Parts: sequence; structure tokens; C-alpha cells
Amino acid sequence: MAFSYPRKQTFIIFLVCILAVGIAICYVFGYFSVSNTTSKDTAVAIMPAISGVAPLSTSTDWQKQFFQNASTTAFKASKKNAASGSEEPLTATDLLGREFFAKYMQMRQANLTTDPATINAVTDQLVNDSVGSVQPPQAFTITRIHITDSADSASLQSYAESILSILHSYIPDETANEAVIAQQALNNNDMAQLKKIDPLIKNYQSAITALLTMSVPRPVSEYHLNLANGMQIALFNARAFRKADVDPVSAMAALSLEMAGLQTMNDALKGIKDYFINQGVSFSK
Amino acid sequence: MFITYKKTTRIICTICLIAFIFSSTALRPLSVQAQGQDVPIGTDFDFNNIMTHLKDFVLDNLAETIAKQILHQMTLSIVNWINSGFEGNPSFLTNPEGFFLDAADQITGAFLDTSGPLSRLCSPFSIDIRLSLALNQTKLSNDRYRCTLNTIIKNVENLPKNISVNGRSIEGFMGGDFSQGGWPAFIALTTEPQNNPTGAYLQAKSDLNGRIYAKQNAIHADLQMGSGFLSRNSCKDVTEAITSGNTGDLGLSLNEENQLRSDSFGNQNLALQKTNAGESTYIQKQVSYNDDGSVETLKYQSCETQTPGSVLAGSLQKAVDSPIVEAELANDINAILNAMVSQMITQMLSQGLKSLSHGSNGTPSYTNRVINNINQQTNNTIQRGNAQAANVVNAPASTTLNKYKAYYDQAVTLITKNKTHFESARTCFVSKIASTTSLSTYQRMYGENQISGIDTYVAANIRPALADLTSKQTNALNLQLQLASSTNAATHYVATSTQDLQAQISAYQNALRISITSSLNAAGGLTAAQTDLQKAKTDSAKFSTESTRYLDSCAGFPNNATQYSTQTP
Repeated sequence: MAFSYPRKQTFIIFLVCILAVGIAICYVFGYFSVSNTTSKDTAVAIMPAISGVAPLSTSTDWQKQFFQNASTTAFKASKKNAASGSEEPLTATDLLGREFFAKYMQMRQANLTTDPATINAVTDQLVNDSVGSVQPPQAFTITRIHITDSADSASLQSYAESILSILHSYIPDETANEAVIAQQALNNNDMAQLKKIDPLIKNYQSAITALLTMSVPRPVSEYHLNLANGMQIALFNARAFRKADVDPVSAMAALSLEMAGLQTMNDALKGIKDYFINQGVSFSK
Repeated sequence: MFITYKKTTRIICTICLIAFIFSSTALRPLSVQAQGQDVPIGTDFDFNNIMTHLKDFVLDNLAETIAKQILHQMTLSIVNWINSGFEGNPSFLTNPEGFFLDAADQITGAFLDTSGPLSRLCSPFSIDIRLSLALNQTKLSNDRYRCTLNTIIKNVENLPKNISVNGRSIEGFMGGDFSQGGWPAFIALTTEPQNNPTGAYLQAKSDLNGRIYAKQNAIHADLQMGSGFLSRNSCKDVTEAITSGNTGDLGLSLNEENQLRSDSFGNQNLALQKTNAGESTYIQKQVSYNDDGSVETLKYQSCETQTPGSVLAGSLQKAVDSPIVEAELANDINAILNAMVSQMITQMLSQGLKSLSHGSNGTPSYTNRVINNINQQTNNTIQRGNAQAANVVNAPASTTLNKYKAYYDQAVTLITKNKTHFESARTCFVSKIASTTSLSTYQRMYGENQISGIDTYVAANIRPALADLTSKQTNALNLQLQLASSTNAATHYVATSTQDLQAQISAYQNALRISITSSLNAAGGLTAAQTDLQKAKTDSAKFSTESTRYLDSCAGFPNNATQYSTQTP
């Protein structure tokens, strides 16, 4: 008896400990929480706020933290949908609208619609996420360029003439640029004018095809790659401005890239010219 | 002699191969084939004109216009979303009715609270008034005008309302027959405004004015929000209705209709505010003229100024079919939308278009991400080219150099090992002389002679050989480092201009020169290195025999130090 008593006690204590650990684990992972209607996303989003030290019943700090830290559900949902292809794609503007509305309702429920810090945090997040949700143009890699080791005078002349022919044929001047057309359409509230961008889109596509199929002397391949990527930005911008009436958020992203695309092409063209000049090739006007 | 000739031939061939490969790839820009070429390209192409025009005349204005379009399109998108029942996925709210009732409850609760505006009422009827107000809040507004006189008269006679029994009715009492209602009816008539014509009119008029005032205030606040930035006009063509005189649905008074058709109004493009329909609606008249002054087109439009907040709040009201505090909701929405769009505009105009999205939590902006992606592709191209060039420049030379250095590494290791053995033997003797107290004079002299012998041997044989080999080993190492450094300088150059490209070409030329020199030096010294290694091996064997003798001698010391063994090992 004296021998078995301590073993029994140890066994019971061990059982109690196991039980306690089990309960603690269940509690932590929510197995004992009352079933509610909160969505999974919301539960996940609120987790960081719960870790705050302020008592929930007496402070709204956790709610402010929620709005300042919570990831945007609509943008996340959009990415999921895009990945699964289960629903028709929403435009970036649709996503911004839904996210704004959802955020507003959450703020309203938390009585934070007049809290400047929360409004700043929410608007900041909305602005960044909305532009960030626009799929950026994909840059070409060097493997897409047809590089040739031939750099004789005939090859260089042919290359130079081809490049300038592409630019003159497909790049619109400053009065017929896609941004100018979009400006006129939006200012006049005449979205039919946006159709004028369609030929530009075709031109940019043709220019890219030409740039990717032509033979490029190896020394200028880097600049040629940049020229093609600049043209890719121009194509992206033209497509986005074309839909400025239904998806102005994408148009806004395009607007932010307009100068960058032109600058990329300008730098690339300058690099090509400098190379030719360095090689003693002159350009007669 | 034959062997030397063959090796020399091989070295020259290697150098020629290096020069050939290098010239056909990395140093291609130095080709002179194109010099003097003239490319007739007609007019030059310049992106600067386009960029200057966009920067000066288009982008800032377009940014603001797109921001307005975002507001408009976003509002439409949300309304569609709401009208579609949130597509079965109201992620933001599970109980909209409860939410909107909460908003009304909050206002009522604050008003009725003991610390609220009613706190100074006389205590005997304070609770009654609060209760009455609270109950009224839950009633339909029509109840406020419900006549209670017939209830009183009905109660007197306990009969259904509007039925005259024994000659008693409301009409009778109001007609002057006091007996038909008595004092209760009199009190009800005089104290409850809805029971007498004057009171009912004043109450209704007051409520109506209040509602109109509230509505106009809300619209005015909407319009002022963002200095009109948020507002947008929604117009529909009403030319036919006005020209045909069928203006019943337009909310125009007769006076306004006449004013619209009058000559004083008809010669210009003007807008007529429809006072009957509130401040936000107006009729717009647009006239265009032919060259001879005759009217070409005449168009009337009924326009309404809307804000995103008012549209969304109105849409929500229809969707949830519950009492919404519409104006309050609209103001809230407009305030946050205004903040958001203002932030967009601020970022665009103050930080430049490239900073449209300035990034958050350390993530780069949208524009920077795109540009970084392009730069990354270009950098990959440069790095790949540099790696190929480096391989062409470096590989053959480094193979020869490595072999050259390896011979001397091996030789130095061998002789260093011999030197270590001699040092061990010397240490052994020094230790035993110092620690053994019973040494005879002869034994001590023997030990010191051994030490002296070791020092002499090492100084005469080991150190000169080791110094020579170490010097040659260092030379090989320096050649290796020099080659690596010059190649590194050339391949890590990021050319962003013609000047940079020239500098990079110079760096490659320098690397190639060093490579060839190193190769030649290493190749020329390769046979000598092999000879040196062979000699080192022979010497090492001899040194090893000597050092072993000293070690054995020390192992037997001092017992082996007798008068008969006076010779050093």
C-alpha cells in the first residue's frame, strides 16, 4: 500500500496535467468558443488586436489598431478569386469601392468614423492597396530578344533604320498620346472618345512584336530590351486609359507610369544612339 | 629541347584562343567595322517633346479628372453591389437592420439620458415625458397626428369611432354642443395640438419645415464637402416635356415654368434652380446658334447634384428597407471619401506622379515596382554578360596560375615540415638540459653541441630553401590576386552612359592584359616550378634524415652522451 499510493498519486497528477494542457490548447485555438457568425477572415484579422494590452470593454484602442493593421479583405478575396478563377474578375475600381464600403461599415460599427487617426490609416491603406491591386506590366527578359553577333556596317544600318521606322510608325506625337485622349474624354464627359485609343493599342502591340522579332546587335541588346519594356509600359497605359470610364483606378496607375515609360524608352534610345555615335555611325537628317 | 618547344607552342595557342574568344564576345563594341557609316534616317525621333507636353499640359489635370471618375465609378460599383444583395457575401455586416437601428437608438438614448437635454425637467413628470418620447420614437410618424377626440368621445359612450349615438359626435362637439364631449373632450381639444385645426396645422407646418430644413442642410453640407469636388451632376433630357408643356413630373411651379420659357431666360445657356424640389435640383437650358443668329438646337435638362454619400445612403435605404439616418450616413461617407481622394490628389500633385503610391510597410511604390522589375531584367542581362566575359578572361589564366602556385605550395609545405622537425629536436635538447639537474659537464656540453649543430644546419640549408620557395609562392599568389581584382573591376561595372561603357571597356582591356601577362609569367615559370618542386622533394628527404637523427639523439639524451660518442649525429 505504501508502495502503490505514490504511484497512484503520480498517475492522477499526470492525468490532471494532461487534461489541463488539453483544455488550454483547446481554449487557445478556439475549440471552446461559442459558435458565431464571424467570418474566418475577420477572425484572423482581429487576432493581432486581441494581443493588445488595453481592456476591450473600456477602450477603443484595439479597434483603431484593427483598422491600422488589418489587411484588406476585398483585395485578399480578389487575389483568391483570381487564383482560383472561380468568379468573374472585378476591376481595381470595384475592389476599391467594396473595400471602402466594408471599411466604412466596420468603422461605423466601431464608432470611429470621426476619428482622424483611423480615417488617415484607412484612407492610406485604401489608396496604396487600390493602386497596388492593379496587375503591373510584365517586363521582358533578354531571352525574348533575338541577339545577333553580326555587327558589320550593313547590320548596324539595318538595325538603326528599323528602330527609327518603328518609332515613327507606332509612337504617337504629343497631341495624340493616350493620356491626352483620356484627358479630353474625361473632361468632356464623352467616353466615346476613348475609342480613339484603340488604334494606339494596336500600334504598340505591333511595335512590341517588331522589337521582339528583329535581329539586335549584341552591344545594344541591353538598350533594346529597355526599349521593348518601355513600349510594354506604353501598351499597358493605353489599355488602362481605354478603360478609364469603368476602371479609373487602373487609369490612375497608368498615369503614374506614363512618364516612367516614356523615360525608359528615351534612355534606351539615347543609349543606342550613343553606341552608334561611338562607333562612328552618323545619323543624317 | 623538343619538350620545351612543344610547351611554348601550346602556351601561344592558348593565348591566341583567349584573345579570339574575348574579341568575339566581350569586346565586340570595339569593332571598327561600322566606322564612317552614315545612316539616313530622315527626321530624328525625340521623346522629350512628348514628355514636356504631358508634364506641362496633361498629367496634373488628368490626375484630378481621374480622381473624380474614381469617385463616380466607385459609387456606381458599390450601388450595383448593394443592389445585387452584396452577391450573397456581405463581408462587412451580418445584420444591417440591427446596425441602422443601432444608429437611431444611439441618438434617442443620448437625448433621453439623465445627463441629456431633458435632465432639467420637473421631476414629477420627467419620467413621463421621457417615456412618452421613447415610445414616440418607436411609433410611425402618422400616429403623431392621430385624432384622440373620437377616442375620448368614444370612451364616454363606449362606442366605435365616427358613429353618432344619441346625437353625440365630434362634429357635434366641434359645432358648439359641449354636452357631446364634456370636459374630457374640451381638455383634449385644447391641450393636444393635433385635436384642433390651428394646433394641427402649426404642428404639421413645423414638422414639415423641420424636415425640409434638415434635408436642405444635408444637401448643402454634401455640396460643400470637398469644395464641390465630390459632387457630380446627373442630368436627363426633358426637352420634350417642357416644349410640350407636360411639366407635371418636373416639380416646377407655374411661375418657374413661365420664367423658363420667357425671352429673358431663353437667349442664354442658363440654369433655373427648382425651389420646389430643393437646392440640389435645377433645370438647365442649352442653346446653340447658327451663324445667322438663329437657334440651331434647344435642349432642356433636368439635373440633380449628387454626392457619393447621398447616392450610397439612398441606395442602402432601399436595400435594407429600414429607417436610416440618411443625411448622417451620407455625411460620414462623404467625409471619408473626401479624405481618401484628397490624399490621392495630394500624393499626386505634391509628391509627383511617380509617387502616386508611396508604398507602405516598407513595400516600394507601384511605379517603382514596375521600374525595378525592368531594371532587374537589364541587370540580369549585364550580370550574365559580365560573368561570360569574366570566364573568358579569367579561366585560362587562372588554370595556369593555379597550377603554378600549387607547385610552390607543395614545395613550401614539404620544407616547412622539415623545419618543424628540426625545431622539435632543438626544443627537446633545450628542455632536457634545463630540467635534468644531474647532468655531467660532458653531458651538458654534448647537449649544447647538438643544439648548435641544429641551428647551423637549419641556417645553412632549410632557411635559404624555404625563403626561395616562399618568395615564388607569394609571387604566384600576387598574380592570382591581381587577375581577380582586375576582372572584378571590369565585371562589376554598371554602365549607364557612353562614358561608363568606355570605362568598362578599358577595365576589360586591363583585365585581359593582366590575364595574358599572368599567363605568360606563370607559363614561363611552370617548368622552373616543377624543377623547384622536385628539388624540394629531394632536399626534404635529406633534411628529414638529418632531423630524425637529431630527434633520436635527443630521445637517448643524456645517457647516450659518453666520451666515446663525441660526434654529432
